[in-house]
Amino acid sequence: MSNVTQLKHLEHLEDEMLNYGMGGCNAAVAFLKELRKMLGHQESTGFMQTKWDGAPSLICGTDPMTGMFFVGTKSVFNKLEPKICYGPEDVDAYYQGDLAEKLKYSLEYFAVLGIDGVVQGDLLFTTSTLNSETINGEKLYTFRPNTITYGIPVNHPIGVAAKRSKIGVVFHTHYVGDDIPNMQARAGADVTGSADVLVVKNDTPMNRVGFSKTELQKFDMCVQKIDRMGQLCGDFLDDLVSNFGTTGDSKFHISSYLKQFFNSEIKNARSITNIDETINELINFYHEKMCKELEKIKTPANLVAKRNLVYKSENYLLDNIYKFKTMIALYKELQSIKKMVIDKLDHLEEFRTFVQTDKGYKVTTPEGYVLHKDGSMIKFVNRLEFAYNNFTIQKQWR
Amino acid sequence: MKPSDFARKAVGGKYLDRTDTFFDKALNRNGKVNHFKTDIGIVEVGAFIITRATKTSKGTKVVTSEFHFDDMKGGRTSYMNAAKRAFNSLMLAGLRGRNEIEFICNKTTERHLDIYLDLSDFEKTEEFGGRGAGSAKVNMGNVYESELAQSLINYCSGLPVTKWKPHVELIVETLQKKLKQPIKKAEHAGGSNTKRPLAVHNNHIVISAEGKIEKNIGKTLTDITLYFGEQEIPIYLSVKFGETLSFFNCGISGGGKGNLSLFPADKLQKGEIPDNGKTYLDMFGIVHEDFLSVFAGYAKGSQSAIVQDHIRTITLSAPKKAALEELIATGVGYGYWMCHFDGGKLHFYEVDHNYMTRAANLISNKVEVQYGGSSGTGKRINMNFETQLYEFSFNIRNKSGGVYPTHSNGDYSKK
Repeated sequence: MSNVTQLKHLEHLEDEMLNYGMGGCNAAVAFLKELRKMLGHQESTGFMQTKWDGAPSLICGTDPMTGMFFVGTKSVFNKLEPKICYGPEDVDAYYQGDLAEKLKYSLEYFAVLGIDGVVQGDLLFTTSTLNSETINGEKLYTFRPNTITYGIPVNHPIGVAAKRSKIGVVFHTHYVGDDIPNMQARAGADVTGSADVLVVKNDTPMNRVGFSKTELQKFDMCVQKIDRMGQLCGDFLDDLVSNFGTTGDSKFHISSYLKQFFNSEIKNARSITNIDETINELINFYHEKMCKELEKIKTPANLVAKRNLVYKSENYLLDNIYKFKTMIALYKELQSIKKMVIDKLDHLEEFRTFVQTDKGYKVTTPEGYVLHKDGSMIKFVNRLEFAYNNFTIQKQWR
Repeated sequence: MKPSDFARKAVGGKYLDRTDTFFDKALNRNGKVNHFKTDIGIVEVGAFIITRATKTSKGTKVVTSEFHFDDMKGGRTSYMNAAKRAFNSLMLAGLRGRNEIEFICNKTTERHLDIYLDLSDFEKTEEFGGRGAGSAKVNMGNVYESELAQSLINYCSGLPVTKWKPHVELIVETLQKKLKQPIKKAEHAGGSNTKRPLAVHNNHIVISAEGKIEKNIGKTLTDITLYFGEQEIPIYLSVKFGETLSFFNCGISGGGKGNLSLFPADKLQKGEIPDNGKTYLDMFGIVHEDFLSVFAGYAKGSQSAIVQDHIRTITLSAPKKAALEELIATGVGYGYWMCHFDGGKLHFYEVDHNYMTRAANLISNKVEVQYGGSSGTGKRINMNFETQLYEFSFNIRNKSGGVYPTHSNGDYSKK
């Protein structure tokens, strides 16, 4: 439930219980219930946006205090030295190389869009990075701002507009407030493009998602199950959160390594299939981490003290083994319901998505989606797919 | 002072926290006091108006913002920080083209008078890296010129060159290659800068060189003269230091030796403009009535733009365009080499007849005229235009605390 001040980092649905315990689990259920309304075409206060793997992420608009147009990266929000670029000279003073060129290009083209207020977006392409390719027999305009290569058919209206434009961007967030370093993020950005600027809309057309009656029933049952499991292990989740820490004695508690463990599983392309096996992998992961931590300790007395903490934590795991299993099962349920949603949404996209491999392009899924509800946002990302791409596809364009 | 006293790209923007020093002084805080030394004496700064031009895909976008130091008091740090950002960014961009900053000041003895000053009207005092009041004032341009001249003299005499060696080598190599003759000797013309007052010539306003009306001005304005070959062919160097160069700066109200009486206050008060004044205004397409309204309206204390559509793009007729180009041509002249050190890089190039023509040829017959300055409420007229080689910013303004114009000056920067 990232209720964000400035958009710097979003959380995954299934991580919320590890971040906030039972409150996080309840928030995940609330998000899913809102999503159910959208999927069932009922009135909803939430809305879904498609995530784009653009780069760089940029902030631009009119500085409310100076009335001057500016561009910048997330560093415009720095409290001490905000890097706000009103002119190309500011860009040159703060940045170098490719990033500087892209910011200057953005300044030149976005200044005339009539952007109301301050918005955030991801740059997709400039004239020099928009290519024409035939992939799987289809003629596409392609661009690769980061890991994913996007393609749009040359005869699609967006393809025609992309070819004509000088720069492509997706704006997804707007900001409110009078002072840039203290502005607050709000979902969505109402920016109209021009002949020179292709502004790709990222609202996910939820009205076009076709969940069948059976699928909706399955979804409802899954949500109920998650809700029930959350109630069952809520106290335990809160206990894990209370033991979490990155310094002092907390650094030796197993609860501080759960998110790291799940991330590591994804990096290694492993999904949760057998909960007992996952528990064993968690124990091994924790053991390796602790060996490294204990090796750093110089004094025998401290080593004894910290070893005792590790033993205590291992006993904690054994004493609560069934609760750990329930927590992992809950995590798995959240992953599975998320996948169910993503699989449906992926079919909505007009852009083709690929990753470059040694053997050419491989079709992949879009980066993911962001669900907004009452000012909070959560991301729905196919982590196995995206993390695999992110960590294994060579970033040879850099 | 000049923009590079506050911000430089090489140091990532802010230079030596001088923007903070300026604001601290204007806000009477951190032990500083709102007293600034300027061309017209000590003043207090109350506000500044920034005009910022940014090149976009659809042409130049211009935004004007006004910042009052009183509004920054009482803990309004976010407003102060925003004002600093805007100030520093403009300093980094430089006062080129339509970029402008104007300070609204008053004298400590006459607080009822609004005085509008440009950054160049402020003296670089000790707090900004200049010399203290007790020390002799050092003009960096003169120091550079003297040191460069001495280094060239040393070079010609086979003595060690200890200062500006790369500059000396560039100058000598370029000229020897061009003339295919070895350098023989160097002379420092010395003395003060050549005076370039406005003058009337054939019913046109032109820029004279020490009162002389001619374009082959190398011999008149030379700062350093170099001689090449057996025939001792003279090469005249005009040495300039700094970013924005001053084209001319002269009184126009009738006072001062050699100054044309273009706009005497007593005449303007009566709604009259002398013929030479009209000629000067016509060159830029300035409407006489609106010119008078700007100053008369200011005297009445108008809070909004005094003249409607105060920023106008004027299309000059062919004779007016020719007259303006003649003014620029007489200012640039030819017959010398420009040795312009902007503080970071030496720009060394020949100003021959062809160069002068390109420098004077307007890229269009358009002039932007700002009645009342960029805000429309000031006691000034700005005239901005571009030639093939330069961006020019001219103005007619009051900088004495009175109402009617006292000075006209023209700055230019290489594109």
